[in-house]
Amino acid sequence: MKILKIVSTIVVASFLTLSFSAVSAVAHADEKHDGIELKDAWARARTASAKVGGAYVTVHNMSKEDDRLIGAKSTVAHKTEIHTTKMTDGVMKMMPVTGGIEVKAGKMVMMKPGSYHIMFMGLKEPITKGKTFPVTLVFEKAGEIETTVTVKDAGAMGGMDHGKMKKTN
Amino acid sequence: MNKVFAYTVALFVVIGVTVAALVLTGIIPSASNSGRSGIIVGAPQIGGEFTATNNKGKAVSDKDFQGKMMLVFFGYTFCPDVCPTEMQTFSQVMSELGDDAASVTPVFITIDPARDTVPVIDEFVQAFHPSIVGLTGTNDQIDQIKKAYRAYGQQVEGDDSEYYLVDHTSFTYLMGTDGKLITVFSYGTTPEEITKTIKEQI
Repeated sequence: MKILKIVSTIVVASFLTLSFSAVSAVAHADEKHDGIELKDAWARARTASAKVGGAYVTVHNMSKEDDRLIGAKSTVAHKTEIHTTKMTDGVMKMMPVTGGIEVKAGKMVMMKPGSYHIMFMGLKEPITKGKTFPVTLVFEKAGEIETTVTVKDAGAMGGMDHGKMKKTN
Repeated sequence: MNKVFAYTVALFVVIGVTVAALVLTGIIPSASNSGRSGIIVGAPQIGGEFTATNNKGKAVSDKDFQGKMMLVFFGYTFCPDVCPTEMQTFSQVMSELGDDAASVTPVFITIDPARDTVPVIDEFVQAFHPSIVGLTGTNDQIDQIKKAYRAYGQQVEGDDSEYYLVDHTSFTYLMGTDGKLITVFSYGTTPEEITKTIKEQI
């Protein structure tokens, strides 16, 4: 009987711990942190065998000091970097951002297709539509801030989805 | 107006690729090349013969695509930003064309055949639209297509042998039923604009 009581105590305790972590994880997402707010983090669904992927986040610097996004971390890939896409004479070049991205005080930097993106290299798990996963952005002054990425369609364009722009009249 | 723009863009492709080729090889066209047609300014010769393997593993050539227009984009499946955007454009064009979709074959040609094997490219194109044909092949086959289309694709040198990046031409080519170039769209042309241009050709 005593064993049964111990077991049930353990079960209840683990359940409480789990629910607490879940709640704290949710509260952590999109949290304002030292004046930097991360919003609308999203990624495009990638095929099951894909080894790379990208995500986009809007960074709002609500503090009175300029800051700089200097890196990114994630558990979905072996390597996570901030990249940008540039077009020169009709040739598309993708490259790691050197020296970080400046986010001036009171300003917003919106990562979007064809521009800044978070690059996941060596995916450890597939990025499938509807999935969510955490990503951490590293700032020079504000430090590390975590947000939750939501996976959209393979060809999603973020807030500018052509599919959602269909005229209603 | 549209044609003027297209030719201007095409001209830039030609100039860009020529410069890139010169820089890469360090060779200035020699006298032995002068007898060949080369590049004619104002009337770029884009398109022509090629062989490749499609996303179903079948050997194909340019002949298999004749009789329909072709919407061609060069890219690689490891590209997470630009290539999915253009494939989404292709997918929307095919949807917006409605019944006219039967007169166009959208084609995604990899410039990274080493990583874009048949199953990889098949999975990639299927994620966007069932009608998109993915083409891969040997390095020689891909080089031949790039040459025919004056397309550029160059692996970025770095220490990463697995997750390397590839610079590539960002244009979309609209080819006629005879395999000859109709027009070139620059990156970012809306699906509506491409659809309109295709409909004008039907």
